[in-house]
Amino acid sequence: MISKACELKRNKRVRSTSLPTEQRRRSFALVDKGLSEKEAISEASRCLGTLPCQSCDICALLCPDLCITWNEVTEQIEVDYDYCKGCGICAAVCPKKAIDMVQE
Amino acid sequence: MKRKTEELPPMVAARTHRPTINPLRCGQCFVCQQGCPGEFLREYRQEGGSLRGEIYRNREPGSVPATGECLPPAPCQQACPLGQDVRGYIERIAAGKPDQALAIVRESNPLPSVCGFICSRPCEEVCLREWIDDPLSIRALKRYVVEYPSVKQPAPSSSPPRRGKPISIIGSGPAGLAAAHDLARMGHGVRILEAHSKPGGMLTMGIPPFRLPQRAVEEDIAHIEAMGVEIGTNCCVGKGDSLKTILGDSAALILAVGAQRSLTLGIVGEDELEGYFDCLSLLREFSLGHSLDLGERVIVVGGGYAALDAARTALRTGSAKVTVIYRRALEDMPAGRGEVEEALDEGVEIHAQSLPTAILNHRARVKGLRCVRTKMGRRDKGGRRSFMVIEGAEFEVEADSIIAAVGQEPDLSWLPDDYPLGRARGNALLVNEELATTLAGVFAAGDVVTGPSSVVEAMASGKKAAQSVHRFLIAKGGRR
Ligand SMILES: Cc1cc2nc3c(=O)[nH]c(=O)nc-3n(C[C@H](O)[C@H](O)[C@H](O)COP(=O)(O)OP(=O)(O)OC[C@H]3O[C@@H](n4cnc5c(N)ncnc54)[C@H](O)[C@@H]3O)c2cc1C
Repeated sequence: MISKACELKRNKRVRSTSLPTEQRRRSFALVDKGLSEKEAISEASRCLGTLPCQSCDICALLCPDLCITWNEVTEQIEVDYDYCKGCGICAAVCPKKAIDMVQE
Repeated sequence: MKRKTEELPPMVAARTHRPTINPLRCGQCFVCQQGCPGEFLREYRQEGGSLRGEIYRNREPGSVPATGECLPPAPCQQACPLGQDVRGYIERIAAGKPDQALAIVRESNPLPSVCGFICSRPCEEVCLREWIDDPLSIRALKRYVVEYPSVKQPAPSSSPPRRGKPISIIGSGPAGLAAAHDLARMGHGVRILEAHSKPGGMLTMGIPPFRLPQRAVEEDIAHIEAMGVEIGTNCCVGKGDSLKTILGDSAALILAVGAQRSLTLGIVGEDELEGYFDCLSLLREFSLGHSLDLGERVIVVGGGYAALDAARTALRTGSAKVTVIYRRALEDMPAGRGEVEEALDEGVEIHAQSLPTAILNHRARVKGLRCVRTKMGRRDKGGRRSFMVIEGAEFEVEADSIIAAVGQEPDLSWLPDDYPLGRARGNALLVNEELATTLAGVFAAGDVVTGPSSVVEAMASGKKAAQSVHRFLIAKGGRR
């Protein structure tokens, strides 16, 4: 079973707050205030590297039955269960461990 | 094989085809082997009584393809001169583990705190997320990690006492510090000689505290010192000990002296006028806590980090009107876009596409600047756009002082003239691929090789020089 791969929502970058400009004109205090814990975690979660599926296509390349395909309509990777024999290569090679072998 | 094939029970009863390898066509790409379930599923190796089990029993999974190695690194990692595992540490931040993220950053970055504040962030320019909405704020995330209160900086391993001559590094800027860090990590004895009273190079004597707090620099340097690196300040090589003496006392030497000489505007008599400043000396005075009266109206000429830092410093010391004059277009400024925006927010005026032609003065005192407008032309091979003067489009700006921030070049005037160190263009040191100079055992890194660059690039250069020195010492049969 392929984890919900490309669930992407538009999500603007988290910007850190800056010292108000009036205060900046008379002081050498640090301008950029940095991110809070909540902001940092939410910003880090935007990284495409944190997505389970990276579309590296290794699973499709190594599938003996050529049954891992890209569905152009849903824009998702799909497994054709009519032909899949459950050999588990895809799950084993997936570098992000985004494929789970589920008991039938 | 322990058992004869005939004794095996019949296998794969439902098989309809049998793979046979045609040796004439096989290119030994090993995809077949790498994709065979026996390679991946540990259980298959334990299978008793099957040929598959026989073949894979006692075989180490060493032949399993390291898929990570087959895939190219993400664009951010490729763009980083240090090759930092950006996705790796960001994933740890998302997982709520900033201390593990810091450990990943430290693997390749000797100055993480500094980079969290002022890295020029080539990674963000190539972030794939830009195609969806916005690139990630990678630098802000790094800063979050280094500032996270509970994050204990992993204690560097204390190094064993070393015998023999140390490796000497001249200059304690990002290049020298990065080289020292990597050499110490490889087990070498390292000392840094620094001309100023505080280590850090441009990090301490240039970049102002409203962008880079000194505590960040001090933290990173303390970490490197804890690795066993000795830093001697107030040792200006050339003025005190000569390079020759130091070379005699060292196993190898790295010159990381940066680009310390400010270029001038190229207008005759400019630097004799009262009210004319060069940017580096000016920023150094402020870093040392000295104050300077720049007057009400200040002009800064230039478009790099240093120019904007000078302009913003002038605003903070009480100048009412600060104007930056830059010869190319606003988007061509070498300073970061974020820094340009911050300067504009603060009220710095930027006259882009303007080239100074004369300094107006009254009784040897700066009164203003005459400029001419330019128009932009084509890009050259390096990607920089050319510009042309628009005849007759002259204008004047009044000012009480003018700060020249039009670039820097290495200052090697302290070297004896007959010293056999080859020079390259722009007064830089001549080095080969390995960053070795023309003198055996002497290497060079950072801005003194490349001309003014950035903190990450200078660090990457320092790390490369460290590798070269390491190889040089091994080849010499020296200590490890
Ligand atoms: C104002 C300013 C702002 C900048 N802002 C940014 C930024 O935001 N982001 C970014 O990425 N880059 C920035 N840069 C560029 C960056 O700081 C430099 O590229 C980087 O510091 C170069 O590192 P380096 O180690 O080669 O040289 P330096 O940092 O210049 O260090 C060289 C050191 O060698 C010492 N030295 C020189 N001669 C001798 C001698 N004879 N004996 C002993 N010691 C000697 C010097 O005192 C100095 O400490 C900025 C530069 C300036 C000037």
